[in-house]
Amino acid sequence: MEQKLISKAQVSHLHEFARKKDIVFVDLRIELVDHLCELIEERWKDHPNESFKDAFHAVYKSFGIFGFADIAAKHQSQMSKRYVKEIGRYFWNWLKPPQIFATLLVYYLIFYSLKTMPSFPIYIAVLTGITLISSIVISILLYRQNLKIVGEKNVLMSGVINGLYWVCHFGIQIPLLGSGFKTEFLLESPYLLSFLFMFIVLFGLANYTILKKSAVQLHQIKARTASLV
Amino acid sequence: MKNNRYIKGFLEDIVLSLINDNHEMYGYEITKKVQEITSGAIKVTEGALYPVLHKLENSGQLSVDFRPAGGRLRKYYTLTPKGNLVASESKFELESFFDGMQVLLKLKKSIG
Repeated sequence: MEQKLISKAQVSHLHEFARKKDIVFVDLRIELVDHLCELIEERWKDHPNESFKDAFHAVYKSFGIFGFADIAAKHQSQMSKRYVKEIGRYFWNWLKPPQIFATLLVYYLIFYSLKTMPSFPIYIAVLTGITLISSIVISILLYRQNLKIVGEKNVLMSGVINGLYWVCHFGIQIPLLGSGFKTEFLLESPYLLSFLFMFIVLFGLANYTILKKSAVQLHQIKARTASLV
Repeated sequence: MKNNRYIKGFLEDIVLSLINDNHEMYGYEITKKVQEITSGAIKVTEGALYPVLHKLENSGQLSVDFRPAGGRLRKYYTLTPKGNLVASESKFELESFFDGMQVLLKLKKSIG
């Protein structure tokens, strides 16, 4: 007797099921759906007359009483760790002689040339603000672009929005807390602002790299999915 | 199976070692392979396996590739150079750990 295999409609049904179980990241869902398919096909070897529905219910039990929820929860906690690691890796990789030299050069050109001007702190404050806003806008645009690739998000890109939120939150709050909520403090501390500026530039570049990396994976998924049809 | 309570601590090493031996593997294949090799004495559950695979992927020890298989996409894992290094180091460490355990258990037995 020929081996009974999962049909494309049944694969779609499993994707829909996983989506309802909060497996929102396409890369994780592909993996879990494939696992379910393998379990069902394996079961059909011994129970060839069993329906898809019955086989599915039987194999889903192997995921334990929490089903996908347990994996999804653990995945969620690792997701933010991964994002922080990616950002950390980017900053760490930056700490190499050519990049440090380029950073110092840019720093010198911008800040030491502006230093001679009377409203130097205001220039830096404006520059920092513009950089932060541009970084957020570019990240959101790229995020939306990524969403369009397969109509869903993957794990890698999902950390970016949280990251932007925390940087905006702390990037504004820490200097304000440090200054006792006196905005003049920032304008009187151009070096703190300069540091914030450099941090925002690096953070923006790191997010850009992460989103581009995530787009590569999504394009791969899109191309490989198309080859199935 | 009582054996499974020991698995958690060694799961990362098991996964790295299996992928090292088989060049590339996917989730279900790993669970099957463990059962096959140990004749069913050790069972790796999905709830334990996937968090470990994702952790190894996040730490840069595994790289992934999505390819079609059986009319659907499949996520394959391969070792990165960092994963290769960790796999060979952990194999060496595990061997000496189990040697120590054997001595310890025999010693306990002889005392008992």
